[in-house]
Amino acid sequence: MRARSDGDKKKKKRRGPPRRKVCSFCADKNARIDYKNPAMIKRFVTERGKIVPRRISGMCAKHQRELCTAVKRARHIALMPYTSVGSSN
Amino acid sequence: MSEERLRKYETIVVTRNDAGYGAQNKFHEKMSELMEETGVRPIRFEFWGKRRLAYQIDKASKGLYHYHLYLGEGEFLTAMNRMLKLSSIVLRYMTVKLDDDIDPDSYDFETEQHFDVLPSESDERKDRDRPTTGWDAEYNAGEGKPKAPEAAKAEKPTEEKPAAEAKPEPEEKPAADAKEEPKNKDGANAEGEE
Repeated sequence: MRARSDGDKKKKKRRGPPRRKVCSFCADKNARIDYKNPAMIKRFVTERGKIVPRRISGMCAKHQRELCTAVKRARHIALMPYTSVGSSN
Repeated sequence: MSEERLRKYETIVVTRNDAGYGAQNKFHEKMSELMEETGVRPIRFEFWGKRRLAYQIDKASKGLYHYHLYLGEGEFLTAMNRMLKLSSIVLRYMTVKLDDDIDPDSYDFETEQHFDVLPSESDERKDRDRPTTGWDAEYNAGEGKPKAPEAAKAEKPTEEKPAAEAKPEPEEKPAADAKEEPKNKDGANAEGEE
């Protein structure tokens, strides 16, 4: 208990409202989510190949849904990995 | 006749890299024959070339990507899926429905029309430096847009040139050192003039 309370004290308190994230596809109307373009989708996937949750990426629900399908399609045709762990490539 | 309504589909087929040109061409002919038989209206065919697969499929780490865009019906899809499933050179395939209820007579084919030709055996070495075609070429032609990965690969030699040109720049910095004075002829002349 003591150790935990010490750790809490050391943490810096965040002041003010959290930084507002903007969906990059809402901001740029020309940008399209396309499963055929893995270079673009890779930005929203972790190094391990997991889809980044929208609470972190700041995507809106609509585009997150589109992205999710795009990643899954790209994975199926081997343009993107399911996971980076265990793959010899 | 004019009431015929079709759906717009795109199909990506990944074939074995080591199957040989004969097998690739045969597969492509079979596909186009099937399209003709079932009344499919092809809009676009792209050959993306050899690509590294994100994961191994049937012990293959590279594959050849074929992209088809067409107007068709379910009849073709069932026939195509059967053909692809039975083919020994096909690693993966995927069909996506893009649009529903399209009138082929009023559809504007010309805007998206593009047909790649499969490389022949004589093009084996050229394939590496093959210029980007299809969507990628059009995508790269757009202003200020990021380049697709395969386009970046194709343009590697051109990208390296500016890097080589940039090399002489750091040489100018140590010119002030006393050691390099004899090497720098311009600098010596400048001193003489002064």
